[in-house]
Amino acid sequence: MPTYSFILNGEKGREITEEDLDGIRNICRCGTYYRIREAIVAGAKNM
Amino acid sequence: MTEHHRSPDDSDSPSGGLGRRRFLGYLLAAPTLAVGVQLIPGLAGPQAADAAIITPPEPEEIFDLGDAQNLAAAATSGLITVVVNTDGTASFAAIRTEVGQGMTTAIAMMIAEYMDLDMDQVTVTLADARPELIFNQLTGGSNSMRSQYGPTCAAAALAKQQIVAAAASRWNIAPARLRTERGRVIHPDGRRLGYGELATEAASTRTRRVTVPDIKAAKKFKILGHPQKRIDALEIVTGQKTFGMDMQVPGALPTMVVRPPTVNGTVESLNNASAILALPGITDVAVISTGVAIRGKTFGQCIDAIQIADVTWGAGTVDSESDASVLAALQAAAPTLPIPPIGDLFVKGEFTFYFASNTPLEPDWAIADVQAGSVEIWAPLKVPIDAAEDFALMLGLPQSAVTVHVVSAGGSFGRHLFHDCATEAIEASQAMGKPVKLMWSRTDTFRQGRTHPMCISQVLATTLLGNVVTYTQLHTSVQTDFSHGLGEILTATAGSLPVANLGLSETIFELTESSPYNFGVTAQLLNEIQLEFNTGSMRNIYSPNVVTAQELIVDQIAAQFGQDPVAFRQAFLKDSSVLAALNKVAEVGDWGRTMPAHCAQGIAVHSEYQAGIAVLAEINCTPHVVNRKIQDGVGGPRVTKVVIVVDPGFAINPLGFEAQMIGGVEDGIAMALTASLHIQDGLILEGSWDNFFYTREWNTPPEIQVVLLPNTSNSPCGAGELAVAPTMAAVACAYARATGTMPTSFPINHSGPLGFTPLPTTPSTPQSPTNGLKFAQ
Repeated sequence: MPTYSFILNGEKGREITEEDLDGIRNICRCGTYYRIREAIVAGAKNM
Repeated sequence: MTEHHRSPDDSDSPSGGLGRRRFLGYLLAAPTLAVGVQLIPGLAGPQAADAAIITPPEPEEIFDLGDAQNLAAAATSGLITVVVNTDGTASFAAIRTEVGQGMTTAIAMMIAEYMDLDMDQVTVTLADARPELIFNQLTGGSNSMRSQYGPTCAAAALAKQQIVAAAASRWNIAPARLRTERGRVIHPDGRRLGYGELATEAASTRTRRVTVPDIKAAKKFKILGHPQKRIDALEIVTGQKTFGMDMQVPGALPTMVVRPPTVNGTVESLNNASAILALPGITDVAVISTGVAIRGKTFGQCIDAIQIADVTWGAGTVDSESDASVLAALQAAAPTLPIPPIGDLFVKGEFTFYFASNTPLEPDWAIADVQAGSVEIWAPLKVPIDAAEDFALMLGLPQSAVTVHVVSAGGSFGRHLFHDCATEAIEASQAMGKPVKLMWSRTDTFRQGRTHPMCISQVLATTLLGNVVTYTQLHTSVQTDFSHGLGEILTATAGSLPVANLGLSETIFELTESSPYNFGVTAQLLNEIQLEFNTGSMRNIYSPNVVTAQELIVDQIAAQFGQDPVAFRQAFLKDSSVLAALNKVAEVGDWGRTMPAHCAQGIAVHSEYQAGIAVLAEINCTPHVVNRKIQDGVGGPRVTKVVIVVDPGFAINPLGFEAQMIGGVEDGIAMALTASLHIQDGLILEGSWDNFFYTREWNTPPEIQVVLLPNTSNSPCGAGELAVAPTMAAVACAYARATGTMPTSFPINHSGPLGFTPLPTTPSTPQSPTNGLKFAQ
């Protein structure tokens, strides 16, 4: 179950891929999935 | 990636859409300044509500459900109040429920704008049930902003006026010579007084009527109409915000319910009460009307007890029903579509929509403390007055002995219109003689909770010489339960509604559904069958199904005419707001661009909540995408892009509006492709979020674009449910174009192999998993 696998795997310095984002298992009933993706990509850029 | 086509200098005021409304203002007797504002009864109708106007235009166009709620609310919405505190902040107890939709943020924006305060100087809390408000404390129908905007702004303006008057009196100067800025009154010579320093002397010692300042005056907004982040965002992400599970009421121990193996099954006998009571932590066991309630020191101990409960169950309310039998019952009950004259061209279709769950993510919960002669309840209720009346009736108590506290909810989606869980908590507390904190498990919520009812929609359109001459849509549904106070609203205002002699459901259908097209003689009719499933509205009532059927048929008519779906809609739309949205979405979404094989665009339009909206969706139905493997989930066709264009009237908070649109997209995708409940012999097979396939990250579009058209009015439209129907329809239309086959059964994966192994019915809540760490490694 690849929950936040790109974080938990501890691989540093690689780009976030669409597959990483698709692999997040968290459920958001309010449907913020797209904004979660935006936030992760923005966060990665700022790291 | 959102465009806001909005000038920051828009001159707007919230009164424009409230043309004939006036407000009565009051100074309230209080230690610090407290003002109240009331709509004058009888002057509240936003539109003339003439009787018996059925067609054309259809009722929804001139007077919709939100208007009905506004009209009903007018007579009793008198008591909304703004209090100015000695620390300079303003407080407001909202009479709508925050369920994650951002309502409190929008209310704070109105008060900050009209009082010249910073956002963090405004505190918005949720009001307890206030029986005197009768019809005005229902959160639903995407109505909160529409009904609260005018009076809230007026109350804030009145509060500022009184603060300024107090400063003018102290300085012995005309109020008109003073100005305000960020919570301070400023003298022409530069002296300043904070609102907090004036709050006490601005207070009134008796309650009296005052004139409300004219909020129609053109005003350049600093806050309203500009994107604002949620006032509770930091609290939420840091875990500080109090939700139900955080509530601590002394003695209210965790309580759960052993539930029957079929929908609404009954308890015949509990066979091992003493064995349950002997388990660690368990304090009480009681049979209640829906199952066996178990109270313990922890929820985990309650779940342990559920594992060993031995209960003999009686019949439920739908034990002989399965998907196929409900479908057969709907088809048998459906009226017969008219037969087109021989030789006329026509397009027809029948569409099936399976049951779906309206459960929010936060588990259902309620705290009840039944004492001799009184009861106190904490719960996330959207219709607290209706609930309080029921509780009083249940316990044989006067209304004054019932205290209902409304708590912020983690989502609602229609679920919190009902107070099923609070009723159980009261039953358990009464039976045990102790306070309880009752929670439903995920399995409970899917199997015994509320559902969007299964329905079929039949459409027939006849055409002649390039025109559509008739459009008939017959919608047949398992009955929707509206027994939550919305009924009282409509009953009370029945004489004012433009629909005569219709039952409650038919009235709501007429007030929410209308065709945006010039299709000649148009009829949309609702028919219900009486099957006793637990139903309710689910982020919309009928629209997602009605609009999906409509838009698929519109594409078929366009094909018959040899026209492009967008060009056809441009030619036949009668609503200018919808047409503007369509034109923009076709442009922004690059309608007609070349798509790879098995991929297509789809387009759909909708008009509801006084808004026009158009959605363009792109879908990928290539076999390797459709068949991709997802652990504990389903893949299926992938929506790769969604563009939404909406004419919001006036968007109070564009950021909040955009969030509602994006959330609506995910709901629409779920309803079109993946999310449903399977009924088998009176049991709902789904029992967890890994069974009920609401959109997940692997099915979310990697690209979503929301475009708000420039303000076209001064009144806000409803946003919470708006995007669901047109997104579902656009995805369905895209799927039809990508596969070459018009889908007729929704969600499209419902009839395929079951995508999960159903949980057993006993125990009714499975043991908690203990292998979570394994998955995180």
